[in-house]
Amino acid sequence: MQLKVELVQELLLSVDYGQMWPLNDIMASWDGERPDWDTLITPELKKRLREWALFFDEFGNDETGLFGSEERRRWFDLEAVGLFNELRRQVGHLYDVKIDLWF
Amino acid sequence: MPSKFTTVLIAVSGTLALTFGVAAGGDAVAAAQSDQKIASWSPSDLRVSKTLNPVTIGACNAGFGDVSVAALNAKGFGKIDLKCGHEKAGYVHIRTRHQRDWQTLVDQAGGGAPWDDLMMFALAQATSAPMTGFPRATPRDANKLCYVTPIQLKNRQGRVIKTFYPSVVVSKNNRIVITNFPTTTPYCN
Repeated sequence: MQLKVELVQELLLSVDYGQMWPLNDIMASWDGERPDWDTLITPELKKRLREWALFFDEFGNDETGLFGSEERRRWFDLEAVGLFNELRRQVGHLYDVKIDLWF
Repeated sequence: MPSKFTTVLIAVSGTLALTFGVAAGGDAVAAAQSDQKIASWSPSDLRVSKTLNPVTIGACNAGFGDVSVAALNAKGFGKIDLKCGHEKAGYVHIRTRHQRDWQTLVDQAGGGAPWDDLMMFALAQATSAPMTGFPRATPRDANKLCYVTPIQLKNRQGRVIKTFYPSVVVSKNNRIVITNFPTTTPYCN
């Protein structure tokens, strides 16, 4: 009897400078086809993900590691947790959803 | 007295590392940049890492953020540096955030090469020969320039495994490379 183990792909919520979509399915190291997000997540979540990445592009300072205000920092962190929870709710059955708030 | 001694040591180490880094790593990068036809990488190439100076990387590991790993000529902008940096930007940032992405590509091509050989090659290609429409500012920050270009990933037999796009982001103020990550399509838009 053979035991088959199918690994679930990791979906990482994280953002870097110039990264306008904050999930690792855009990385060349992603295994397989990119997910069809229009059929997997709500338009609202898709919009929030992109806005979160744009927020980082606008305010994330690579020299100071700051956002320019504590209010912005709080929004970025809280929104990240909200996005993470929503991703787990909507695609957690398909992917191993992880978050990396490195900034 | 102890603080003076520390200062001298840092200055000497920093100077040595900087000299080796630019002289050695810079030559290989310049060679890669000068050949506009090169847009593919294979693990058998090992173009850059032979000359990625261990002293320089050692300086990065020791926290000398201002040491230059490589000097590059970015099209439309001029001389820029990939510095050791720190967790937020530069070589250390790329290693911390994206070593796994780069190494996965190397492994998909058959492995046997370090991740930063491919990363450095892609960096040199993207900045010297960006695709049409690049460089351009990132959507919300005019101080960040993005360079993108296609790179063919080949195995040791020369077969194309995939084409990917390094996204290189440069700080215009400081003339330094902030990050470099490999994507499936051109990003920064």
